[in-house]
Amino acid sequence: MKAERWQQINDLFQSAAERAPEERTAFLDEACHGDKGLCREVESLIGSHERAQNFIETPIFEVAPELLTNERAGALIGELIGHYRIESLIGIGGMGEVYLARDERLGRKVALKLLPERLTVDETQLSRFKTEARAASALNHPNILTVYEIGADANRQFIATEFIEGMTLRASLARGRMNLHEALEIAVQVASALAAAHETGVVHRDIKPENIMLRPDGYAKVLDLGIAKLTEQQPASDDHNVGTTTVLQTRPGSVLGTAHYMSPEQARGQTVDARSDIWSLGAVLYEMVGGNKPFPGETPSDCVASILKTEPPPLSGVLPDVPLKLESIVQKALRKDRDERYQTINEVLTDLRDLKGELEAEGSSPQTKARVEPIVTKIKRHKRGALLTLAAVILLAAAFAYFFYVAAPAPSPSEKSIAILPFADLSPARDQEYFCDGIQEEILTRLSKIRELKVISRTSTQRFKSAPPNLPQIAKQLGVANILESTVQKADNQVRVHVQLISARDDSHLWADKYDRKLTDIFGVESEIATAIADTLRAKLSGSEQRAIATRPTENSEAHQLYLKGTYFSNKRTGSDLHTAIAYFKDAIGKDPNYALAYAGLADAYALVSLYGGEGPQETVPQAKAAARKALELEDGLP
Amino acid sequence: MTTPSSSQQEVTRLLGDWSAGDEAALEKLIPLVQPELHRLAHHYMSRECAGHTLQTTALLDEAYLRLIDRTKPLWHDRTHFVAAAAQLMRRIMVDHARERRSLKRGAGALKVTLDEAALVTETRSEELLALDEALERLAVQDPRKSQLVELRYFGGLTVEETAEFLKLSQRTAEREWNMAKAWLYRALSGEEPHES
Repeated sequence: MKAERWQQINDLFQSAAERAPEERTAFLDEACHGDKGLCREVESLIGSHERAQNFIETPIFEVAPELLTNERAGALIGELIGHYRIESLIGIGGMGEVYLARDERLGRKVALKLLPERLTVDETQLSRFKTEARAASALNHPNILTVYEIGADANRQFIATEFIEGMTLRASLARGRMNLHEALEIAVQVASALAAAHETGVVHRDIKPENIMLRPDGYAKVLDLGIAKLTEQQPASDDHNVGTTTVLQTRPGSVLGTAHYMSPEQARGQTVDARSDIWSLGAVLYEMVGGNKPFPGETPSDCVASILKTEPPPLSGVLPDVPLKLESIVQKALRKDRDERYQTINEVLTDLRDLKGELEAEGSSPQTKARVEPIVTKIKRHKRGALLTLAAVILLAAAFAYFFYVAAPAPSPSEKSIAILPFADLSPARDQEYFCDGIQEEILTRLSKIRELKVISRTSTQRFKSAPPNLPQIAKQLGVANILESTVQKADNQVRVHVQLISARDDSHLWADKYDRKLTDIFGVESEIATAIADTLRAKLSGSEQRAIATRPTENSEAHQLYLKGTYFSNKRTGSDLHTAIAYFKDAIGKDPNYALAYAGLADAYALVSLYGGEGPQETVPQAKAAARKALELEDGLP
Repeated sequence: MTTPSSSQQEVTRLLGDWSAGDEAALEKLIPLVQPELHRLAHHYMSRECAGHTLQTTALLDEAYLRLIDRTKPLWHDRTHFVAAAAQLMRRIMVDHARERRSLKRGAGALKVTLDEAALVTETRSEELLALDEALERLAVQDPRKSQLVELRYFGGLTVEETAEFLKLSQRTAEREWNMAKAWLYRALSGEEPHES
């Protein structure tokens, strides 16, 4: 833009902004002297000015401090830490990053956990942790992950452990609850690991499905024994050498992943002993058998309230033929007063083994019993499988889209590149913007999943929303060979979507189609369009890509509508719009509690509120995390 | 005032070179300044747990005291340092956000078990990257507005301080801020009308 033009826009913006809202249109009409482009530009900026509210008003360090402290993890691949050569990243979590590494001295694979700096700045705490971790590493038990070394190089603390291939209990639970036999088998193994730990005075403190690894050969391994010690805070007066747990660390990137398995005494910040692990194991067992967490809650504080006050519904409510003995084991482990609980893990272990023996002796294979579950549950689970795939897609779409965007800055764009322009709303009332935005996003998400295809991100295409149709120029700006241009007309329950795929090189039509559908059948259209584009551009699809494109995020059309509205408001990025978005996502979840995508949207909206809405991360981040966790749970179990 | 250490002298010299237009000085500055900012950020975040609120000003004030040789005439003014630090903060935070993104990609996204905290960071990183790109575009059109945003958003300067540093009246600084904010907001919310 020419400097003069910019100056003109600037001046008019300032003059208009100082006028009362109702006078602005008249003022601009006159001041622009018939220059419609100028008028539109200033009006659009004034609109943004009004919506921007608290946007960038709080310095970024104060809302997202973790972006300043991030360790340079990406740079670590190939590096030597201690005598471990980093090979690849296995996982990221609040407790640090875990890498697959090779021990250069012994030539074996290890899992190397790098502790986040923020957990290791306090020398006293670090040394308490080391004492405990050393005690834990001395344990030699088949159900405890073997710790090879606790060490440090110049910059960071690390823990090297055996590397096991398998999945976490969390991932396994995401596929639905387990049968009794499996659940008991895992509980016995975890209890026997804890028995060994407690014997040496080590309390785990953080037993949860994420910390239990299942090996394909049937072994369960307890991870991170004693590591939770790092997150405890020493009381000012060191009376009785008692650790006080900071219950609700709500800072972004902070330690506490989940409060669901925390014992009441942990929740209150009281001393923790072996009986706390018994509680957590009880909660895990409850979830393995019943499929739900005993103490649900969207935010850590909800969850804590539930831990302190409510009794979980009996397992027999979910599973009518649950053995009475199992019910009583779980109840005894989950007594709020720890003096009423099992006092030692060995008592738990004995009861679990007895029950296991009884069930086996009865000959009634618990497996058959567990299979007698209502057919509805099975159908539900099957449906969820499909949802999971799509949730993953949406979570990864942005990353993929960007990958293709930066990976091909070539001057002549690949034939397999596409920009999905915003869908134009041709409805009589022009009130379908949210629907247009939503359907655009859904198609984009599906296409982003195809590796071979370069898809331009939504942020880059949105500025062409009110574009004059100079497609070759737009294509050049975005660096793509193809453009999808579309319109949506919606009246009552009927939707007409018109799409055309245009080759930018010669402005020729590659493919065009018209879809007349009932509103309830709209997801089908999104898949069909995405598939047709892939076909036309001859992008090869792998099996999982085909499934990802074809999946429906939900079967509930009301939920889908609500989700689209949520997405629309979320993309507006103002405090009040984000709150509207949150409400829509919640409604969508209300209609379909297994709608992973809606949880992902909700998580995003909460995370954005702290950036745009002027609310402190203290309030919104826990909620963002809770929703993200749920989305992840539903997403787990990918093909 | 204590005698400046050799690293303080080095940082001060590089900042001087950079202010004088030597872009290469920035590359040399980052490794010297980054560890201190990291350390301070950790320190402030752990204090935050104890109920303190995070303040960019406090962070940079302390960095100033530690990093700068205040016997040099250019640098007895704290604002001058914060203005430079704002750019450094931006650079460092954007680099981190980029690393996050490439890390996730490099790890084979499916294998990475991101937890909730990491996912929130993900969203914020992407948002920061989008803002950074928009700021670049704004700088082409109107460098002063872009600098103003940098000073306030990354350096935590107040309107008054920004006005003083840029030698603007407070009113102009406010007006410039409003337009920059509207423009950036529009760029990020994808509402930009097409410019032919």
